[in-house]
Amino acid sequence: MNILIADDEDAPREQLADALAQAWPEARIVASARHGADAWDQWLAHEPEVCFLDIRMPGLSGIEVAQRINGRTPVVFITAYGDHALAAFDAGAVDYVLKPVDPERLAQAVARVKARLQQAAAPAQADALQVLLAKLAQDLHRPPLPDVIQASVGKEVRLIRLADVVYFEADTRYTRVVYRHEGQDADALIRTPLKDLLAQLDVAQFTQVHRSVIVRSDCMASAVRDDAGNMHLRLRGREERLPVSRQFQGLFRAQ
Amino acid sequence: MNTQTPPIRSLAQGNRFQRAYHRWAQPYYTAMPPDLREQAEAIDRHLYSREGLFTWAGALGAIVGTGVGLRSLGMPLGVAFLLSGICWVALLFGALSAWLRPEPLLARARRPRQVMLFIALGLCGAVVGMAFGQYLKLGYLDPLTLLQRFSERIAVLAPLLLVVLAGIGLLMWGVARTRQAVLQRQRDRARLEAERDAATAQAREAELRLLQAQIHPHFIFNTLAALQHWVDRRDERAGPLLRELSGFLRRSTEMLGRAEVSLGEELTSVRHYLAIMQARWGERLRYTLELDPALDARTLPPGLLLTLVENAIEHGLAAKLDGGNLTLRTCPTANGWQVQVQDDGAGLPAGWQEGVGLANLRQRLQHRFGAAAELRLQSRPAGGCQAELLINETLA
Repeated sequence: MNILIADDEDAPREQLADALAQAWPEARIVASARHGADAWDQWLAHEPEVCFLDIRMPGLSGIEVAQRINGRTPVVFITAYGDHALAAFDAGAVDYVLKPVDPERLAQAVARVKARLQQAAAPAQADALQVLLAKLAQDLHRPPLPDVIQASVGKEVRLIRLADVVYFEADTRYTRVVYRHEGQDADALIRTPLKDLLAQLDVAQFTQVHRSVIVRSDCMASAVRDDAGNMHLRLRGREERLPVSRQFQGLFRAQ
Repeated sequence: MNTQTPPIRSLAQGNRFQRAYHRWAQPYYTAMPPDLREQAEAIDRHLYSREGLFTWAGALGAIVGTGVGLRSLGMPLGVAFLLSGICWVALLFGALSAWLRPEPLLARARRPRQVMLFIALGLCGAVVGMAFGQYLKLGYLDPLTLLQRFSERIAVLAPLLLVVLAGIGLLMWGVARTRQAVLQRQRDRARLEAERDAATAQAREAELRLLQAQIHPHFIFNTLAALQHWVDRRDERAGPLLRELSGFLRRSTEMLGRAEVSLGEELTSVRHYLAIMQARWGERLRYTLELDPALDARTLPPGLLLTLVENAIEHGLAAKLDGGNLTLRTCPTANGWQVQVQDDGAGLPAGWQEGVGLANLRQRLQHRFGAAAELRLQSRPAGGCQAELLINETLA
């Protein structure tokens, strides 16, 4: 059983890992994330079977990570008392454990997660969960999203308007920004990792289609599935094809 | 002297006559503002009860006395008593209405045309009344005699009438002016009292909310989570963190109910808080204190600086993936002193508006310093946010 845990503070995260080792000896922590964007990236990379997420984290909050996971994996929230979100959880929609983690309470949560893994969640329940998470996400404090990103090209620092960006692509240690500049195609490298960038982009304008690709939503033209089951994305007025990973293929379904 | 006040009996619970009067007066009462209504009811309770009989007897005596006096001056009996009655009733009711509702009366007095019209109307009434009297007596109208009689009478009556009317008018005006001044003072005092009460209540509420914010459960339990882990692991960081937490909680509870603390005391709280956050966050929190010890004796409402520092960390730095820097500075200014809290965190979101916490701070500052304190919050050009508290001691 593979688990992901996320907390932006070291001590509580380590405490959770220790407590889980006691409460669920057969589980293995495959990813230990330091913030929300990291947690989401690790989820894409490892596809853990259960997630334990702190709620207040920089980048993406635990709630936002759960929204992206979209019911594909059971989530247990770890939170300090005083999070106003708690009231909603009492409805039984999701499980939560309070910090400092109490071994007995954690054992209960683990038992419930095991039971939930036995039976596939009904779609109606998953929808209800998404509605609840959306409501909770509204209350979270979000830092402002930038409308310009700075990229250095040689000795020049280019100010790229987010409105001109076509897509972002992870490129080993950097992120490649492909954009339109005065009618011309251009690209530049920035140092911000793609997973961190994700937290700074407006979800209404950009869509992640792969662990290493984020596309401007209105540049997407069509998604093509090949015989091997792989999917590619075609862009409006452009030649290149971008990969759509299995985890995101659900985004493209004929109505 | 009777120290026991008898219970007030409303006219509504009185005899049949009093009840009838109360029923008649009810619509007038309900149209009055509460304080006026109370006075009107008190006057009515006096006039329409046994003790009021003396007042009525006095009024009757005054009318009869004046009537007899006028008669002895050579006036016909009927005219003398009519004039006396009109004068006294007008005087009493005029004074009463001037006492109860001075504003409308004064407003009328400010329009002399209305007063002149009133007098002219009175004279016309007199002419018509005399003509009617002559017609009853003679069976026909004799305009010549009428005019002659009228001019004779008017020569005697007019100066007298004018003097009496002017006297009544002046008296009413005087009563109304005095009364208006008293009412205005009462209203001003009531308003001031209400404002002061509201300000005190707000300040107390703000204090309570501040305390709640300071020992915020989220902060406490997150700190306890770290502490628990380090105790379990026999980590040597547990001891210092526990000491900082105890110090912080002791300071916070001691602030309870205090109107103000010295800047030095407040900074001790802030140091505890920063040490706790640093223990929890490690490298994510980097901070610098640039403090002028000469300012430590200055006083301010408790928890103000702590709230500014908490905001910088909770809203500014907590949102950044790799944390950031915080600078706390106290320094003298040309006319007082100031505190600056700077961070290079998330900054203020677009369209940001002050929340309850900051409004709370402003209220407390206003309560303590009035116009001498200023709290400014702005985004910094390089990113992040700066909070500035300025105290102008020349205004304090």
